[in-house]
Amino acid sequence: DGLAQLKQFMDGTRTARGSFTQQVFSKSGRKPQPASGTFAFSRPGKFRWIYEKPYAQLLVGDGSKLWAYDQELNQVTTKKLGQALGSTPAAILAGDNSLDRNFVLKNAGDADGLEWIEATPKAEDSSFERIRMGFAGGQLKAMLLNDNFGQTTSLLFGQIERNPSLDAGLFRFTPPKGADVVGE
Amino acid sequence: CAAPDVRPPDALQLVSRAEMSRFQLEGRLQVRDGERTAAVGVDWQHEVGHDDWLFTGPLGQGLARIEADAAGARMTLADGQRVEAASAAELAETALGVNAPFAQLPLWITARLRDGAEVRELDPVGRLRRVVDQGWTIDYIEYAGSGPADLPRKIDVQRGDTRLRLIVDAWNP
Repeated sequence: DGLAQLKQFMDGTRTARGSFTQQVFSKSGRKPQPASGTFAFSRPGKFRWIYEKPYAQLLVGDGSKLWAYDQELNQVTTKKLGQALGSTPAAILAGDNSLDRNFVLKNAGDADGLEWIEATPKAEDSSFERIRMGFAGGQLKAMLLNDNFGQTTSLLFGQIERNPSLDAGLFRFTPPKGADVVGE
Repeated sequence: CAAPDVRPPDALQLVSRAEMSRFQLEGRLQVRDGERTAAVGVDWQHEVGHDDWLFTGPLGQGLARIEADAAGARMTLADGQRVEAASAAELAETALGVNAPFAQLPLWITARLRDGAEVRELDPVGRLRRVVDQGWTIDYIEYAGSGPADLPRKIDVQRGDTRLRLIVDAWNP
């Protein structure tokens, strides 16, 4: 079932890298704007999430902070990972094994050829109301995130390489000279 | 698209197009006022007399929604908290911590001229490049296409130490 596959994925995946496509479906049902890019993570707490489309954006979790860098705006937004990580996809991918510290986890049945689990953040002020994760063969294939405004972010993962050796530099971020830094 | 109303001819052969009655856009908003900066994704639905803003975070998740009309403005935050105020600008200041000219944005971002605004520069295709409007300087950095009727893609607005940049990643009809 889903929870067993989640455990298998979490226990068997200390680092990973792959590609993703993302769509945000708004409540108004407007055509969603597709986004895509690559990601890498190294548990606990470290991840690198690169959006190539619709615009260049880099999200880095260095274990203590989340850095979001918008190249065109030449701007860095930063947040303590505790808050930001608590209930974002990165939290699940890069979280430490005690996923159930931040989420209530339960099986959510089969659909679209995947076995799903549902994770409901325990923290009240989390960015997402509910997160679902779809597995096949012990591999994470998809995530659906419902925010508090009726939007659903769908993340589909391409081939995920499990436990590659990843350069630690991937998970460090220094704001470029002249960039605006916003946040703590 | 709305039929253009041609102004009385003046030095600049200027066609000022009627206000766009409705538009919807997705993009990114950065606002700086003196020492503070804010940056959010925006999903903005505009109709004459009614605006619906959704501010989003780096992963597309909603942070705050502001609805504004003649009767005033209402904001819902991610944790469900509701706040009311006279205008969207006031609520945005509560949400973002910076003061920004939201009331004028619908005309600015669609390259329409407000009464009393002065055109300082047009681009080679005859589109607005720089406008001054009640002390605000609006620079049209980029348009979404190369045609004369194309909408802006990136504008920079400045007055005193307030600077706003709005990048439109998608215009949706």
